[in-house]
Amino acid sequence: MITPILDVMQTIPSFVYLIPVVMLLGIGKVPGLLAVCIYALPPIVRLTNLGIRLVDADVMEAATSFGANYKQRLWGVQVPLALPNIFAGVNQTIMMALAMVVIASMIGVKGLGVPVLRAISNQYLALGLMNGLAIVALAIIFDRVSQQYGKRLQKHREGGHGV
Amino acid sequence: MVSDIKVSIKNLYKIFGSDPQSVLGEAQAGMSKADLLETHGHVLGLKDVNIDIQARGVQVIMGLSGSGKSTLIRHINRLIEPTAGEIIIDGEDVLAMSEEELLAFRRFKASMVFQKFGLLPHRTVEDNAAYGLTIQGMDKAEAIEKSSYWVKRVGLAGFENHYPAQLSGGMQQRVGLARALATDAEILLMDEAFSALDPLIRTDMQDVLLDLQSELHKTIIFITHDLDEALRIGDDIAILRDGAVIQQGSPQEIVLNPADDYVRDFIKDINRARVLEVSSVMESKKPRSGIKVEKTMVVEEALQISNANDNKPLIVTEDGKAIGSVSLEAMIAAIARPEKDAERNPEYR
Repeated sequence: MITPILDVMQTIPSFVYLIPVVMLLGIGKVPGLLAVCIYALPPIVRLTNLGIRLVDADVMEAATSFGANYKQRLWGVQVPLALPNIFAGVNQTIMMALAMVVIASMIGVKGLGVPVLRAISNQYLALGLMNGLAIVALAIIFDRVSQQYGKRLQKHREGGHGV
Repeated sequence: MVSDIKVSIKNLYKIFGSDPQSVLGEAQAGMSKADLLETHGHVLGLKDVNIDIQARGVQVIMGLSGSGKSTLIRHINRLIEPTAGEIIIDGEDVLAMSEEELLAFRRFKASMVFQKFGLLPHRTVEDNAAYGLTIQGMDKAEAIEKSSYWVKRVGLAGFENHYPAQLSGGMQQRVGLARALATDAEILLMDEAFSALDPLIRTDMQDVLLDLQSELHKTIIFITHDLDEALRIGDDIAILRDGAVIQQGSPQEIVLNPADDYVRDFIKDINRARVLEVSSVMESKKPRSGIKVEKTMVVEEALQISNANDNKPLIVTEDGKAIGSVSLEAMIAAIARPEKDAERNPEYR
């Protein structure tokens, strides 16, 4: 049920859903945010799903045998053990969200996308390159910070021989 | 051993397949595992299992891989739903419990130790040991304090803040044991708990278990494929083949009277001297003088005593009273490996 929705969110050209979004909400930050969400959320959903499914069945069985209910299994076992995949999803989502800034700028979102858009329409190579690289730098910073946070949540993976 | 029944498994069937209920009738009528698979494409996991398990004893369930022993133990706390049958624990049918009753049963009444340990890799040793208690709803600090006793009892003092991946297999299983003991459940389910460990560590863990059991007297249901292990720790052994119980009895009974060739094959290579007790090989005549031995002494020990006393016959006693004697020859004859046609050989019986 979820998969086809994610497929649509990922593959449908952004301009297609920008039309109704702009029609309904006008131009500005809100429709921009909505467009970014539609485009960037699927990877984290998919990878979280995958991560939860990949949790060792033996560990889940042990949790069940001690009487863990659905919530205790989800938050006590599945989510913590799915963290590597969840953080791979976070990485993908950050990258895709930043890739959307130029498109978002077309519907009136201010920021780094605006000069890039201007550079494209006027063929200013230097302006486009500088602002494009700035977006890349932002993406790298966000990614490194979030991955470091993820690592801190997974202390148990250091210095062992793997379980 | 005190004889009251803690767990009673009655007419338990488990059929794996797309529509188990449709073929249940035929399985109950006695269709074999192979026929059922061929004609209906369903796998017969358990076939009319009936076992009464004594309270405060160690019940071993034994069988080779595929015999259904792991399936059986998972029915007791309902990790697997049965196709038909009853499991009565303290007068209550586990299979009829509601979702909440089942959760409470798993939290307070039965805890489990797994072959592959099943530890939570993201939690430290002390957090793992406290897991059952936190699931019960106990405050985390209190749970850790309470479970730390068991962490020390299984010999892991000093490792409280290690993660499972930093421990050896034997130590990980100690954590598993501490986790199961910490909930104070009366029933301990052990699914090939020591099978993944190397022989020395395995013996070590058996000692830990026997030591704890002599003090705690829990009802332990122990699954294994290793007969030496079964004979060592079991008060009672049930042997499973193709999902059906083919023999149940004390270690003595199984070694002395194997039910069929399958069981006979099983016991062929065991150390009989370590299992047989002198009462199984004694004669009724009572010599006037000699060294006295308790009737539950194993032949291995009695042989050493006899040997140290000019190979004289020993007097077998029960509660201090002589009930018979046992000669060196009889003991040696008893530990000889039985031949294929042992059944027809009256000396062996």
